[in-house]
Amino acid sequence: MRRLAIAERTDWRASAETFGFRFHTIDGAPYWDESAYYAFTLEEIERDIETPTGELHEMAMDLVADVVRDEAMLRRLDIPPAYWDWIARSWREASPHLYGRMDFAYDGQGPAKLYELNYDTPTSLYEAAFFQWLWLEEQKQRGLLPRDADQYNSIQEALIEAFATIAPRLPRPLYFAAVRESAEDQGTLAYVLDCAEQAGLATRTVAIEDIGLSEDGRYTDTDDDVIGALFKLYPLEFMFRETFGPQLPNSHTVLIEPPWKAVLSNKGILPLLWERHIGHPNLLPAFFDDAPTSELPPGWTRKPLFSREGANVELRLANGERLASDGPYTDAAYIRQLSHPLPKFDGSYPLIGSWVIGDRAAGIGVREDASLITRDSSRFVPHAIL
Amino acid sequence: MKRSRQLALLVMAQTPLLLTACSEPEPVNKQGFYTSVDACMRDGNPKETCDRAAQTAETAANAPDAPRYKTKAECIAEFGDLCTERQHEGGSIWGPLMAGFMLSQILAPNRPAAYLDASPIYRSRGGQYVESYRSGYNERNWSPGDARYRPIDIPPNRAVTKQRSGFGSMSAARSGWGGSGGS
Repeated sequence: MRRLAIAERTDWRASAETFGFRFHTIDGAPYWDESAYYAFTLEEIERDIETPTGELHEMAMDLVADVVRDEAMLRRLDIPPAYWDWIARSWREASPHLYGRMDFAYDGQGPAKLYELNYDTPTSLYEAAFFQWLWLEEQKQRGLLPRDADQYNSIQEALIEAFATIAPRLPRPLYFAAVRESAEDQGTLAYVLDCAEQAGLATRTVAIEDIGLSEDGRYTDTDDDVIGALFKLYPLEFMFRETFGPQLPNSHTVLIEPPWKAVLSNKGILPLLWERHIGHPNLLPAFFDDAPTSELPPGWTRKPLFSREGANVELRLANGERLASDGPYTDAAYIRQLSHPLPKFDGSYPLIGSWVIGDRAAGIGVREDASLITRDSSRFVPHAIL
Repeated sequence: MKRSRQLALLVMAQTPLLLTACSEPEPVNKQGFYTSVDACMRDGNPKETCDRAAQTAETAANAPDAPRYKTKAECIAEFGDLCTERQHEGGSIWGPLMAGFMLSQILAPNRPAAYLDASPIYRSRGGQYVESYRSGYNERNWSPGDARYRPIDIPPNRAVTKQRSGFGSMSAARSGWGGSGGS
């Protein structure tokens, strides 16, 4: 694994415009960054990323089967009791799921270490699946990358296949919803919708804020049409705690991601995985944090059960140095995970996002940050297999 | 190969497109020429797809940049009695009636065909099915009589599978006319 400088495509901004990539620059700061790329060997990809991703995914899915039947575990995960039956039912009925992203710390030496699972509302999908792919093809064509350069990225292909697989079980049309004002979420949503269309599904969009509730407890769009199936780029645990939440179990709306993803989008899955697979080379020791206000000992990281974009994470390095990010996720329980700082390449800290589509490991995207905690301010840097 | 062989965007990009990975087997673009929605469905296409194609072609056939003639006689010279009068900018013009539509779809293994584009097909006076195109597309200078026609080499109501060119071939769905059809 190497970080290599490369000339930017002079026309990449125009390409981004043409191909619907509107969030390449966020609040004036670059998000898409192709001034460098990460080069992996095929062995690194297959042995260190792809294989562990598949294995960890299976371990996580096995765990869901047990958690949904175990009230004590559901309580530890801070999932509201009103949703337990509904979550268990969705698992029993094998409610269709689409995707998830695992985040790994990896430097080319030794096993990749799992930081967390993003299995409910993973983002950075379009840039990994599409724009990164375009970058590789164009840089090969322009002679800046060798002709036989490859990329670990069949994400879009897998996504369309996954949609085609679940399509027969979905009421039509499939609605797509995200927060109206988020350019990034709306961009990701448009991309997932595009893949669904390519799989032959009829689609509609609605802003999360515009979803209505009918007298008989069905969710509706702005035309009062009943929403039979909903892809929501919006956290389940938010929905649980919002006004319309209590109606979820009786609404008959098929949700994607499905209710049982509440178990996997929860950082409590990390101690549960560790408990069951102590010493697994791709896992970091993790425990529920029973004293979240106590001082964190050196060498440990503290994360809220529900946290996105690296918010509310506290890190104490082995040398005692303390790093923390603020954020809104202060009202739930925490876990502790053994600190395993990200590697440093040319002053940047890369985090590998490894995609699972359907149930298959399908590709990666690398995000870099200038600090050890990868935030929503990170930059997406493309990769190639050389 | 560890990456997708081809990628398409149907809705998200400015125009629908299909991209193919460098130096790999070419993706397949399935084209079908149908004289009716029923014929399209009989060829195994879903009703939604056929309706959408017919609609898109119909819209294109009635668009301002569709083939048109100042006089009925000019139109009849090309299309016989398959001509119709249209209102245009307060006056009337003449243009050919749509005799069918061309449906383009992307085919990939283990996946239903994905709708890419559709365009109108006309029938010339001599009984030949033709599509319209323009050499040197230039909207401003488009004037009646500029239409060029080329015969289509696909028999009606039977889909033909064609290969498509390599990387960079952008198959853009146009509201007007252009060269996405053949290989």
